[in-house]
Amino acid sequence: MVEKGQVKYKGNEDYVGFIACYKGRTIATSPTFKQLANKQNVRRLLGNKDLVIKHTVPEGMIAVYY
Amino acid sequence: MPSTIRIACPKADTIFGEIFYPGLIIDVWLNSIGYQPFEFILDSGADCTMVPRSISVLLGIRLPTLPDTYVAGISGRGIPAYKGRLKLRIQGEEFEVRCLFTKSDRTPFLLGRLDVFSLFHVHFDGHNCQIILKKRRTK
Repeated sequence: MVEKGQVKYKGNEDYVGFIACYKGRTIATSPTFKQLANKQNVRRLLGNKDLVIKHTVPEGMIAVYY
Repeated sequence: MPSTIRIACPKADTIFGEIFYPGLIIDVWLNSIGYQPFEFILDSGADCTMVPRSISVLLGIRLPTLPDTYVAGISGRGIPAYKGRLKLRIQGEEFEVRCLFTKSDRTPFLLGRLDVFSLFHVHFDGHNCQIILKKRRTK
């Protein structure tokens, strides 16, 4: 069984910004959280345990947060 | 309630190959919605938890017009930030953290040390790609 943290989200490999994933599939992307949260399909699913909102960077990119 | 929480983490593909990525799925309490899972980066270098300001709308709180502080960003300029609190849940363990809401809506969800490292012993197990949180005993 795949645990939550091990889920490899599909469709977000080249994206910088915020993504919403539902059951492991990317359903929405946006450069800002505000825009993402305002998308209709994301708003509709808010509160659903299968929806995960996260920040992402493209594969191969080194991310340093400071 | 388990006193030890083990969280499997993904790996990030980088120019150096795969690197352990401390992304934790954490439930955030949103008023009128309930708990919503977000992926936070567990950042032992961050003094406190930081989230974009616009999440405050979902939390049902109003932030003041004037910022409480400024956070040094990658650009070198200070990003205005506002003090607040988040109610979080990890694998059934509920707790509250003080946090900063940054004016930038591009801020990733960072779980910093304040109110987290005092509540848990935090172990980054890069070899096994997991984070182990062990709840501290209260005196």
